[in-house]
Amino acid sequence: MTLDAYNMSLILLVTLATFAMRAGGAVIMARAQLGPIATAAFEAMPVAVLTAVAAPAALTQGLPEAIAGAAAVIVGLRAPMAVVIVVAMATVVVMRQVLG
Amino acid sequence: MGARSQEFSAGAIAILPVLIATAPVAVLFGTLAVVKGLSPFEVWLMSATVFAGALQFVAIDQWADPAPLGLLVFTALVVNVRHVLMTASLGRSMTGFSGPTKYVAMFFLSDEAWAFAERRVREAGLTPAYYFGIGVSMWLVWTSSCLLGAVIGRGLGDPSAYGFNFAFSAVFICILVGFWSNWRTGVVLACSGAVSATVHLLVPGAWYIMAGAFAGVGVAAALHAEIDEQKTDGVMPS
Repeated sequence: MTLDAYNMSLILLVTLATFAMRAGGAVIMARAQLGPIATAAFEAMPVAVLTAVAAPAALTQGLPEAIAGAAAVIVGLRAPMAVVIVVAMATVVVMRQVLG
Repeated sequence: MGARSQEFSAGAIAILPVLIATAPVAVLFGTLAVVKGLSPFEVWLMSATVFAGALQFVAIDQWADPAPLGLLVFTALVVNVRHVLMTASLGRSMTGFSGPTKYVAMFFLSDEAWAFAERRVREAGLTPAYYFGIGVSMWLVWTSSCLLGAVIGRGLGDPSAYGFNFAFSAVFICILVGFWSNWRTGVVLACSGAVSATVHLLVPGAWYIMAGAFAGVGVAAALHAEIDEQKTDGVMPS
């Protein structure tokens, strides 16, 4: 087991930076009174943020990923999440082989 | 079982598919970090305290001896600034959380935990026990799998060869499908997705998430302002 003081303090600083971002939203919003337009914006936030996180992986990585993303949407309308994951992963792997 | 432990189990069971997909990715992180010169204990410590999948991969990629401190802290802020948006949104639904509990909960936040929590908000309301069922089980799997990777070294090969990296995209798509309510959802989704993908292609780093998020939120606000104007004109909103 190695204990490196420099690495330790670096990990601590990165932890603090990470936690600051995570707690930041809650701190900012704790006392905010939102008008109707801001409320509409906040209600859209889960969809907007989640789409922004996921879109590049499905749209910019290539055809296998795009096809797998479309498959996930279609299967996701009916099937439970575990099935969607397996179908999407299998589609990526198979399509990479096929389109390779 | 009490109501609390039932909620905790419900959260842990809901996140189970994500846990299965996370483990190989965490093992990969452990192996990469050891190659970069971190000791297994340092790998575990970083996973346990930073607890951020994407950031840890970016950080370990930039790791050198000595590690560039300023760059890494700046990277942590940039990569994780999306969490400000996530917690600002989720914080509005955490009415059952006491002040200190809310901040402990934020420590366990990840993209996946946040997405599942927002889904729970819409389905049944979010209790602290459900949230910690998600967060604590993810923490346990992430930290133990990172450590496992650091100890066993290069054993499993690259998880992306088996499509594991796409498993997270599938999870997010699945949750998004459940978020659909009307045509406005589609407009937000299209704007956010188009801007995010475009910025991802043009701008290095993690800015694409903020860009896409603000595009989606902006268009939602604009649509709402439009409806307000229609109301004052005496036209019923659709």
